[in-house]
Amino acid sequence: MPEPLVEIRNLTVSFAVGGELFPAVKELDLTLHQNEIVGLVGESGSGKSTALLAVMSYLPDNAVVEAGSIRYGGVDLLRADRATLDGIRGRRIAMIYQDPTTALNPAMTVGRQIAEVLTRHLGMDGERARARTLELLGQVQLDDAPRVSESYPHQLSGGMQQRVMIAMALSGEPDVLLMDEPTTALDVIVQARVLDLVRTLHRQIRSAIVFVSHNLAAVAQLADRIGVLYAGDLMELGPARQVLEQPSHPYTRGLIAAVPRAGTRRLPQGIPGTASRERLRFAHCVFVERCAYAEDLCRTGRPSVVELPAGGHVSRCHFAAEPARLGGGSPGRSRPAASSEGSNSTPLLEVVGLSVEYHRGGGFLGLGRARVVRAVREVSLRLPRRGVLAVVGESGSGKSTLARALLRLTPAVQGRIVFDGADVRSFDAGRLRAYRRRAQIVFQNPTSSLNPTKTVADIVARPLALEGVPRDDRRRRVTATLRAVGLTDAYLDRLPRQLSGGEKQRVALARAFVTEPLLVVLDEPTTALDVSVQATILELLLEQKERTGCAYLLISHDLAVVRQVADQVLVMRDGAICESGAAEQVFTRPSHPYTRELLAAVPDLPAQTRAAPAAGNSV
Amino acid sequence: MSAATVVAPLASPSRVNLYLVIGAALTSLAIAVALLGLAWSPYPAAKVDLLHRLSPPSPAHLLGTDRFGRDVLSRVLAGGWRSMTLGFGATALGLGIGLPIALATGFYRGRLDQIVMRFVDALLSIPTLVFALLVIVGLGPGLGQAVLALGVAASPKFVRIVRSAVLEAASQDYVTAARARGESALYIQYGEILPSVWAPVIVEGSINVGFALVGGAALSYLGLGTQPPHADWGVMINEAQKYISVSFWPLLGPALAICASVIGFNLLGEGLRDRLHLRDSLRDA
Repeated sequence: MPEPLVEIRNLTVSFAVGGELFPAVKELDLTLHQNEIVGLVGESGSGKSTALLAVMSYLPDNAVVEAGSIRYGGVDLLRADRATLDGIRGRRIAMIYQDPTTALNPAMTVGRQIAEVLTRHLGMDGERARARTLELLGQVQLDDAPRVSESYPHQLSGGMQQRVMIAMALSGEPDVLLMDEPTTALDVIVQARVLDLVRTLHRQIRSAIVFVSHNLAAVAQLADRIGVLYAGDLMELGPARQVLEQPSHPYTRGLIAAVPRAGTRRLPQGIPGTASRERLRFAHCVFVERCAYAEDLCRTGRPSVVELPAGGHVSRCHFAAEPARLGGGSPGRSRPAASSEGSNSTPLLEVVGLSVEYHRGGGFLGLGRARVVRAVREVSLRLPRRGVLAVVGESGSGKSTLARALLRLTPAVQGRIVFDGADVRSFDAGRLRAYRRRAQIVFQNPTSSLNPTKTVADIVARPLALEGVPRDDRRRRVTATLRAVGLTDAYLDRLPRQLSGGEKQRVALARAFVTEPLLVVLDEPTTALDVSVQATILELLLEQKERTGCAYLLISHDLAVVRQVADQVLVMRDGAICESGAAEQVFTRPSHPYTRELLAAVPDLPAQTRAAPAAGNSV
Repeated sequence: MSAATVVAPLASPSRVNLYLVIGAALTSLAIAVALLGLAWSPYPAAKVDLLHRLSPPSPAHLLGTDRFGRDVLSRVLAGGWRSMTLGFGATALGLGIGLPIALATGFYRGRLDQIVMRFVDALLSIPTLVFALLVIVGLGPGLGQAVLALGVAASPKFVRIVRSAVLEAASQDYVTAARARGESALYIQYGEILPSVWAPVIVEGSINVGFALVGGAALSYLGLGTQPPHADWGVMINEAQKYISVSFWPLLGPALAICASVIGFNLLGEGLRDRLHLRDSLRDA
C-alpha cells in the first residue's frame, strides 16, 4: 500500500459546554490515499463535520482535542503553528461547505473572489489571475465563464454557486479536497450534475477527495471507500462495494434498509429510536440502544475495531466477524395496494384550472409598480378519498404555493377548488373554519412548526379546544393520538426543544390527526429528517392513513420517497403541470422529458445492494 | 498556536452570569429600599430641623441633612416608591401601548404596517426625554403625568424592538399551522406569537425601567414630576444641587440611589439577554 496522504490517528475531539466536556468524535482512525474518494456517511450529530474541521484546524473555540494526531506531509496538523497551517489550508487541503450562499461574499463578483485567492495566496499577478479564474470556471463546467465571473453571487443559482465554490477550492491545485454535504442544499437534478462534476474533476486533477453526506445513495455514486459515522464513532470503513453489499455493522445494514429506493415500491425500514448524545455513550457500544442484536457484551464493553477478511474492511462491532449472528434479514414489506376508492366516485378534492399570482415589489403602500409572478398556472387535479396524490418538482416549481392555495392560506386568482362537493373559494368565515378542521397541513421543518413555548399536550390539544371538545375528552383523545404516532404519555409535558427531530415531526403529525381530518397536506414531511428516522415517519404516515381513512396530498422533491407512498403523481415545473398519472406509470413509463430527467437524477444504491433490513424491524 | 487546544481543556465558560447576579442584587436592593420607605423611616420625611441644616453624616443622620435640616436617609427611603413608580409605571404603560401595536403590525403586515411604522420612525427620531417633555407640557406637572409622559415616550421603542421579534415568530410554520386550523387573528397574536417574544420584551423592559428612573428623576429635577415638599430622588437632587458649594452630602444619598438602581436594571437586562440567548443556543446544541 502506498504512503498515505493524510493519516488521522486516534482522534478524539470534545466540546466544552457549561464546564463539561461532551465528546463529538472518539478514537477516529482514517487514512486517505492519493487519488481516492472516501465517502463519509453520517446522520446529524455523527461527528462528520467535526472530523473535517479538525483536519482543517478550523475547530470552534470550545472544541478540545483530547487525543490523536492528523499527519499530512510530515506535519501534525493539530500541533502545527499558524504559518505552517496557512501554507497548507486552502492550498494543499481545501474545503467546500454545504451552503454556498453563506460562504461567498455577497458584495464582490465571484471572479474577483477567485482572483483574490490566486493573487494573495499564490502570488499571481492580476492578468494571470484573471486568465486562471476563467480557466477554473470552465473546469467546473460553467458555460460562459466570462459572464459568470462578472456576476455577484445572488445572480447565480445554487448549483452555479456551488460550482464557483469548487472552482475556488481548486485554485491552489490541492492534494486533498474536503466536501461537507456539498449537494444537500441543492435540488435533485442539480445534485446529479454536481456529483457528475465531482467525478469528472477527480479523473482530471487526481486529488484525494473526502465526500461527506448524510445521503448514502449520493455517496455510493462516488466513493471508492465508504466510512459510516454514528454518534461520534466510525462504525464501519471499507471498500464501497464491500460496505454496501456485505455490511458488517448492524447500523450500516439499518441505514441501507432505510434508504428509499426509486427502483422499487418496497417500503424503506426505519431504525427505531434516535442517536445517543450521552456524555458517557462510549463506555459501551454507541449504537446499543437501537440495535436489534445487542447482547450483554454490547452494554458493558466498548467494541474494538475488528478487521474483516476482505482487505481494508473494518468494523466496530463485537460480532462483525460473525455475520450469521446479525441475521439474514427479510425483504422489506411491500407497500399495501392502493386503497383509494375507484376514480369514478366523487373525489374528495377536485381542482380545476387553479392559478395563483404573487405581487413582487410595489414600494411604499403599493404605490409603485408591482411585478406579477404567476406561481401556479391553471393546475387541475383530482384526489380520491383515501388516496395519496404526490406533487413533485424542484424548488420554485410552485408546488408549495399550490398546497397553500388549496388550504386558502394564499388566495387564488382563478379556478375552482371543490372539497367534498363544496366550492372552497366561495366559503364564508364560518364554513372556512369548518373546512380547515377537515383539511390539515404538516410542514417540512418540525422545529419551526411547533411553538417552542408550548408543551406537547397543549400543542396537540389545541385543535380540539378550537372545535369545542370538552376538556376530559380532549385529554383522552390527545393521549390516544400520541400513542398512535408512537409517543408515550411521558411526552405530554415536554417542550419541543426537549425532543429530537423525528419526535417533533411525530407531534406535528399528532396535531394534524387529532381532529380526524379527511385531507392532510404533507409539505416535504421527511426532508428535514435523518434517513433512519425518515423511514419510520413514512411508515407512520401509511399507518395513520389506514387508521383514519384520510387522503394525502404529498408535496415532495424526493422521488424515491414519493414512489413508496403515492398512488397518483403530478409533476410540476414553473407553476404548471407537465405530467400526471398513476404513480406506477409515471415512474416506469414517464412520457415527459422533464420527468425522465428528474427520475434519472435520483441517486440510487447499486442494484445488488441488499435491501434487507438488519437493525431490527420498526414496530 | 493551533486553533484547537491540545489536551488541556479550555477555561470552561462560567455558569454564573455575573451581570445577572449583580443586576438582580442591585434591583432587589432598590426595590427593598422603596418598600421599606413606605413603612418606616428614621424620621418623618418632612420633619424640619433648622438647627441642623446641611449637616454632614453623623450617627443621628447617617446621610446628613438637607437645607431644611430634613434627614436625607429618611427622604431617600420615603421617596423611593415614587421613583420606582416612575420606572415601573412608565415601562408598564410603554409596553401596554407598544405590545399590541407591535403584534398587530408584525402579524398583519401590509399597508397598516407601513403607515404605522413610518409614524413610529418619526416619533423615534425625537429624543425620548424631549418627547416626554412635550407630553408633560400638554398635561401639566405631577407624578402621574410624568409616568404617562415617560410611558408614551417609551412606546415607539417597544414597538420597533418587539415588532422585529414578532416578524420572526410570524414567519414560523406554527403560525401558518394556526391559520390553517382556523384560529382567530387575536388568538394567533396573543396565544401563539406573544409567548415566543417574551425574551426581548423582558430584556428591553428591565433596561427601560432604569431609563425611566433617570427620565423621571430628570423630570422631577426640572420641577415637572413629583412636586415638593414630597420627596423623590430627582426632586432631592434638584433641591440639593443649589447648595452644592456649601455641602454635597444632601446630594450624595439620592444620587447613589439612582445610580445603583439604574446600573442594577441595566445589568439585569444585559444578564437576562445573555441568559435567554444562551438558552436559544443550547436548544440547537
